[in-house]
Amino acid sequence: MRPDRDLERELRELGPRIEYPPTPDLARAVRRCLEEDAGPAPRRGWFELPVVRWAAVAAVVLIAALPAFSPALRDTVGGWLAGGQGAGQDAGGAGEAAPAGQGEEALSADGSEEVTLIEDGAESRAGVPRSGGGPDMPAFGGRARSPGENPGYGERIPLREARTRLAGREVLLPGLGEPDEVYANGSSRSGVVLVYRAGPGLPALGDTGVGLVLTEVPGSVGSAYFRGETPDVAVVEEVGVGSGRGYWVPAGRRPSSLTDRGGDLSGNVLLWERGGLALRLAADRPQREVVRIAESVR
Amino acid sequence: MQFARSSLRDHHGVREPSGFRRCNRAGKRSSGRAVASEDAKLAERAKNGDTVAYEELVRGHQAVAFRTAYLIVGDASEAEDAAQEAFVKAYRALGSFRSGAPFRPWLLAVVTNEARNRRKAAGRRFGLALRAAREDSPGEGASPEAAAVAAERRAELLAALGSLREEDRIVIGYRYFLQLSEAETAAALGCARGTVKSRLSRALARLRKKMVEDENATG
Repeated sequence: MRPDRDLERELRELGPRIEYPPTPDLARAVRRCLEEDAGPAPRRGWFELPVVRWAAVAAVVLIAALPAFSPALRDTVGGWLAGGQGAGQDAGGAGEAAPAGQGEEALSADGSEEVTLIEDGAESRAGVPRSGGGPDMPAFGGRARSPGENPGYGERIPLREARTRLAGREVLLPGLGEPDEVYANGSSRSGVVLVYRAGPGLPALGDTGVGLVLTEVPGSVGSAYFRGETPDVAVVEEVGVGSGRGYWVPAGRRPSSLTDRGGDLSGNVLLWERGGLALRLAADRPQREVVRIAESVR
Repeated sequence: MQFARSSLRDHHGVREPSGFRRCNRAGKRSSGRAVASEDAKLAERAKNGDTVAYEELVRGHQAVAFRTAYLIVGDASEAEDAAQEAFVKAYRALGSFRSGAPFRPWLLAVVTNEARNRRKAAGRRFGLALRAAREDSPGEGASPEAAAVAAERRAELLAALGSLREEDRIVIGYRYFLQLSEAETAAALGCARGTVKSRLSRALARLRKKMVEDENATG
């Protein structure tokens, strides 16, 4: 029997002798494809944008300088920067991550068409503007977001156009209702990102002001969200979602093979498949609650 | 189908078939560092929406991308589609590409996923499409008999390789045929370098076992 090193040598010598088909001129074809596609230019990392960097620097300087001004001014500006939840904070501190199990969801009588998030007596349902959710109110991290400003998930599109980004498949919605915003990233199979703003019972993911993100991509969980296709079951936890299987990735335990498709957010992530779509739900809620929301997706 | 034997190399060391238009930049670059530096500049321009810069970036990597896809799907047309779609997806995802990082491993990860998805979607088993040149290069000095034996051995090796499972074929193909480094292979497969080592070791063991079985079967 030949030792491995001989086999390796043979393979090395074989490599240059492999006859491949001629390489097509992909460069021109790709450029033509990109120019014909009405999609957006590559999405830059949110913090890479110079205006965002300067805005962040300005905000830090402003905060540092606040004590030099009057307490009233400090409180006012601090309120803008800290919350973004406005009335939501008055209604029970939304915007801060609730301890696991504190929030409860209630399914509607017919099963799971609606998911209502209840926290400390405040109630909201996605689709109905939550606290701080008006178009001119601060959202997404508490910044005074101008109407139409893009949070970095791609191109903002109307919900009715989502189907065209899912290779013709129907967009699936959780019992929370219609999302506050929908984004897509260009090509017809790249999927859509449904964004629900933070509010009572739906704390913000990190400092984004986003409460829940549902990403839908044609294909399988492995192909859509994992490099190397197969979820690393040594890191992710397999959970039941309805009669199917899902993968739970707790915040802070991201396997390196998990891509940041759908946003690299700080919350817990659940991945599962339904109707030919690979779904990724990110929320700062406990597993049981996230699974219930996932099971409400239709 | 017989393909023309390769004779040229692009700037990443991947040979281009003879008769194919040589990459404009191929002769200008001699070091990997210079290539990486230029790739970084092109990627940065492409991030800002410069499709001409991206076209040049694609040209520099299209051969390795196409061959990577071909190793997985085993069909020229399917490999072309996979590589092209991967380049488009990579462009769309340039925002997540870290400035200054090597472009090739990142790209090959996209190509690998795209090709695997297409192969799965097609529901076809990998058809062994690889061929090795039968003739030795001029000047290698082997006798006709020795050259024939060597060619037969190469064909047996490819046949045995074709009977292995996909994971084994890919890791062997990436390391020995595409001559990717361990780090590049790890990036393309989305795993750690240590995992590449262990996968490669197991794949080689299975290939060796298969070769022995075939030898015994033919007496």
